[in-house]
Amino acid sequence: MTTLNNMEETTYAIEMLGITKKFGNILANDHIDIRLQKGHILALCGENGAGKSTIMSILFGLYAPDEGIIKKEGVEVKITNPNDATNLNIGMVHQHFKLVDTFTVLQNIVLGDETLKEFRGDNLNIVKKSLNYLNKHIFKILDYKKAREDINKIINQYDLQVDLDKKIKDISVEMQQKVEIIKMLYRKNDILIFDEPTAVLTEQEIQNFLKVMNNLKKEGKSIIFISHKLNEIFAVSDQITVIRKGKYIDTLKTSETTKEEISALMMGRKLKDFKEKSKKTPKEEVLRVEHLTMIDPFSKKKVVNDISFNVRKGEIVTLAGIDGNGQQEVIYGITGIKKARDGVILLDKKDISSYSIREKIKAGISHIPEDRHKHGLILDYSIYENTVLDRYYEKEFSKCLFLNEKNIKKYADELIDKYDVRSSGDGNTIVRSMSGGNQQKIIVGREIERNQDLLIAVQPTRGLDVGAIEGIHNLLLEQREEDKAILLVSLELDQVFTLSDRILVMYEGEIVGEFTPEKVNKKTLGLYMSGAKKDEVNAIKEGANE
Amino acid sequence: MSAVLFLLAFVSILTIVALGGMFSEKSGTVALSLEGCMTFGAFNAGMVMYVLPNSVPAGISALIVILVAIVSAGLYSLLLAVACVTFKANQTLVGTALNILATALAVVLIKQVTRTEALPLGNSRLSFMRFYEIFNVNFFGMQGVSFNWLIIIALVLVPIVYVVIYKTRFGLRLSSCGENPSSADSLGINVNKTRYIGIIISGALAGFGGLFLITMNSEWEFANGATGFGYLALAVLIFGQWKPLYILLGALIFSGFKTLSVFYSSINFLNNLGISSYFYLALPYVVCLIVLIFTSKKNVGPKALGEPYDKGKR
Amino acid sequence: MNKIKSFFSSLIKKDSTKTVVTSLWCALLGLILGFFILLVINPSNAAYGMSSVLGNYLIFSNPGDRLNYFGQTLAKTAPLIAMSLSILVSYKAGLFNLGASGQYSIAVLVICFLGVGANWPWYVVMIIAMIAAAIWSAITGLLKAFFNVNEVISGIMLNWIALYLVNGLLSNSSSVWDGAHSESIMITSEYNSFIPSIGLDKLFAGNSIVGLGMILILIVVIIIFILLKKTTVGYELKATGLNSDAARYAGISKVKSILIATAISGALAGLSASLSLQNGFTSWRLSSVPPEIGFQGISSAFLGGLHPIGVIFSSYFIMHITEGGSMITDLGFSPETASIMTSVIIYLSGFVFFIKEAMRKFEIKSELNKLSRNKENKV
Repeated sequence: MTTLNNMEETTYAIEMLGITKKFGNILANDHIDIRLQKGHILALCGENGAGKSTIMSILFGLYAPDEGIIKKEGVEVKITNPNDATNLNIGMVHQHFKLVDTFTVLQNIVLGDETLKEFRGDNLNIVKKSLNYLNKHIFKILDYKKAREDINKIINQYDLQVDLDKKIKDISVEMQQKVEIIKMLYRKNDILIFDEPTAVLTEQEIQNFLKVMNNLKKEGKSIIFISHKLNEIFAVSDQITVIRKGKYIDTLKTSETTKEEISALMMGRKLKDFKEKSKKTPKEEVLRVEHLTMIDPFSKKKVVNDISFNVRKGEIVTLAGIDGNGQQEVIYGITGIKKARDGVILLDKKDISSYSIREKIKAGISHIPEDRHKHGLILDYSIYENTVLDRYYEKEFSKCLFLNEKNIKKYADELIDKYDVRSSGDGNTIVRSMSGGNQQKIIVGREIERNQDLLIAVQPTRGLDVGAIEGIHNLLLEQREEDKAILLVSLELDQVFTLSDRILVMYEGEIVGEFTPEKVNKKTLGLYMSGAKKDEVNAIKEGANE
Repeated sequence: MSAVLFLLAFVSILTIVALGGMFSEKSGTVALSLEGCMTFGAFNAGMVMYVLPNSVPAGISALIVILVAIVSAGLYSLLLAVACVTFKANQTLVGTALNILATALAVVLIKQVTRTEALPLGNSRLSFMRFYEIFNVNFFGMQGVSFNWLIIIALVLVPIVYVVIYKTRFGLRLSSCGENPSSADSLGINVNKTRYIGIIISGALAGFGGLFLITMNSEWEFANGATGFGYLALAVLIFGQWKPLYILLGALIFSGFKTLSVFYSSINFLNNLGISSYFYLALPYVVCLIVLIFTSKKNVGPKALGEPYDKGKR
Repeated sequence: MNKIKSFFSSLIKKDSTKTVVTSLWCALLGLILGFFILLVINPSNAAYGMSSVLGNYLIFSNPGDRLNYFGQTLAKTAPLIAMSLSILVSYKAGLFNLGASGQYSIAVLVICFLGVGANWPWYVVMIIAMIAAAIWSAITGLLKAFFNVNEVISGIMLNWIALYLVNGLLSNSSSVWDGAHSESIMITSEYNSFIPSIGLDKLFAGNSIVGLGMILILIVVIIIFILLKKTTVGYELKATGLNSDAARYAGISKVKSILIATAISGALAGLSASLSLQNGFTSWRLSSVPPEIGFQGISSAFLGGLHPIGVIFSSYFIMHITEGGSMITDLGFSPETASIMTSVIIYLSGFVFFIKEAMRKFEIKSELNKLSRNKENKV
């Protein structure tokens, strides 16, 4: 009885009831209920692909639900586009920020909700009044000065320091996130949605961000916080709603549950343990990078600054770090996708620094790129055509100028079989129509089957569901067993710890620490990744020099 | 007609049309159809000019003609908007189709009405429009420098466009649609509507420029469209890096070479070189190509230029 | 019965079938709009005008005339097919060849000097013309590959440069220029540079412009088809066109692909000039705009569904109505009426992707409906 009474007394800032959304044949949301209490933080959690982003996009008016209703403060509302959401004071920080790179911070904040110039005061003369009228309805000239004042008030109230005149492309990811938060506050939003806000932040930045969330809550804002990181969820949230594979599972009070319980609800089944990494001693060196330096052609900054390391047979070396600290560029340098300013790259003791991309591939480098759609596959090619993307010119697959279709098909069918690539048809299926996990299997299969010396994998499990991640992990570990050298770039600490034999931490284009997973914990690694230990490292270096 | 006048007229036309194209490109649609919009606007205006009775006062007829040019070309550019914005068609393909269509329509209909290949523009009432007969200003001791309102419009248009693009709400939103349509959309800005408006402004200004191009002549053969002025304006726009002031500068440079191709024979030195007149005709295009080589490496154009906005792909 | 049904339903589902259907729609709509314009201009003659456009050679009652003009339309289709292939090849590599007119012009220059002036054998002239056009086109490729210059803009600029270059050089050399008609001297069957008729003229009532050119172009179509479908070069070109980044990551050289694609499409534009001028049905006239055929090529390439075989039919169709259009001048219509129709067709080709997508969605929907209906029936 008491619970029922409590229920009636509670006023919900937002209720989403029985929300269902289909994309084609895929049921992204299946009767999901979400209730956000006023002034509370509700964590929405679930695995990748559980439908978290979809339901929030529905709340924000980006998608129309097929079924279900949305209530704000008990009153049913229709949200058909972002304008409706804004009018209801609902704001959202998307996982990929919605900022215009070439605009300044100030322009980005006011965009869509601009302040127009007007003469202010009580006794305006007729000229000023009519000018006001004209500007309001016809010219619509902007008042950046007034906007700046308003924004500065917000910045001070919530302690969100940013430089309003810098362009977005020139500021850090953390700053960009602040801009997104200010954008919502500037629009006087009182219901705030954060979609995976901490994915791009360092440990320290995450702590700051959690403080900001608490500040927002103190000021009476209601917040929905999408995440699958349990530490953060338990640090700030009041309630937790769990969804799994598009279905609503449960809502629990944070104070009355445990991480284990939530984890179990999220997964649905107990995760199969990853294959235990065997003890192995690495053998001879495969890759050696010496004094690699890369320059960004536009900013002229050193994005990779004089780094050296090696990878040996039978080990997985991981470049860890926050996104954008030069890991990607190191890979570009090794594979030849971008020209290095300086440095030597040796593969099996041979200098391959000046090789073209094709020559490097032939020399024995395999590369699983981060963005499979943009860089890994030709989406409008069939599976057959994609399986030979970096070896169609080999003798086996072509004679003179002609493709040997018979051999290509035979090879591809074997690969499809071996890596369990599933599609709606045979190898002639266009890759675009396939799921992400199966697309990734084509790439991984293609790169491994080349019988390479060095396998480079950049975030090979990005955006995949749990099952697919497991598969990819096991394939990488198998390669390690077969004494291949593997260079991995990963942003996810869990992955770093499960797979690596050695961890190289990158910060601002430099390697600031080297560890074995047994001898370091996540917290220390996080400190290195955020640059907090950089001064110490430098001090040690200088000490050594003396 | 003096070379200075010729130069100023070309500068004005190129500036007006290129500024128009800027509205389309800033919002994310390639302005390849400028040539067609110039042709179509000029053709409609020319036809109205041709059929207007003599009793209509010169001022009013000029006004009508200008309105016809602007409105018809604006409507014509709607064809581009429907295909490329709503139906996400290939912008180069549709732009090319509209350029050919405008020429073909003009030729067919003019032949039907006038029974001649070229549209005669010798009507004396039109002297009001003819830019070189407007007003002569003698200042700083320079003799016979004539200004007309075409040049003045072009000069005034530059600061106006500057303010519209950089200081108004419309300008900010327009640019955001060409730079990052998905973020514009997430802020409740109607991307497709904004692009429609950008395209229509672009067409309207191109029509206006087309009208003035043909009134510089005593007749106009529409089989040649706008004789490539629309393409040149597009090049000026790219050369001007989508910025109003640079566009003016670019227009000045290209007009200089264009003027040279008309007047080189009256310059003794150049005439004595004995180079074919065709060389001078080709020169603006060669210069344009060279300038593009130096400016294209650093890609400064709107980021989403040429990409239709697909809501599903956000 | 069911077999036939399933055969048709699988035929309808095929992508190529959709392309054909939408292309036919575009052509039909273009014709209807053209008819509408004829109606506006001259209602009493419109029906007859339209039948001339559509009928072309069929309006002649004498079978000899019919054959003769049919042959002429066929022969004139050959250069248009070449031009469409030029657009098609570069499009497959992700480039829009708006510079085809300029490449055509450069080839004309070579043909006039070597074919008219020097009277070299036809195949030598043809090959050199193709090489010259390929080199001219490769300028666009070089600018794109090394300086990131948009190929559309540089193509347009090169069109005008080529135009003035050819105008200037031809009109100043009396050996190739017919000053009285202000056009280049026509290559006739007396010239060595005339593409031989190999007896085909006899099939078409002695029309000498019908000849080897038509057979050559069919061979070229097959070569291009094989090049794109079966060879490593085609594989590379298409990969670059579909996703140049992924192609680069896989070690395919973008520079090489761009240069090959622009050179091939230039050579094809050159072939187009060769098949026009060396067949003796056209010459170079002084003009202040680049030759129209470069743009006509765009319409037939897209109308043909960007498929080498499809291009044969679309080119014939466009040449058929263009030739038909030139017959209606007596009725008080301009031959450009056909040009209106073709530009409308290009415009509508822009919608092809959308229409095909809509057809696909419709199919899925009806399929789902069928499934659910079946379920209900079972219940």
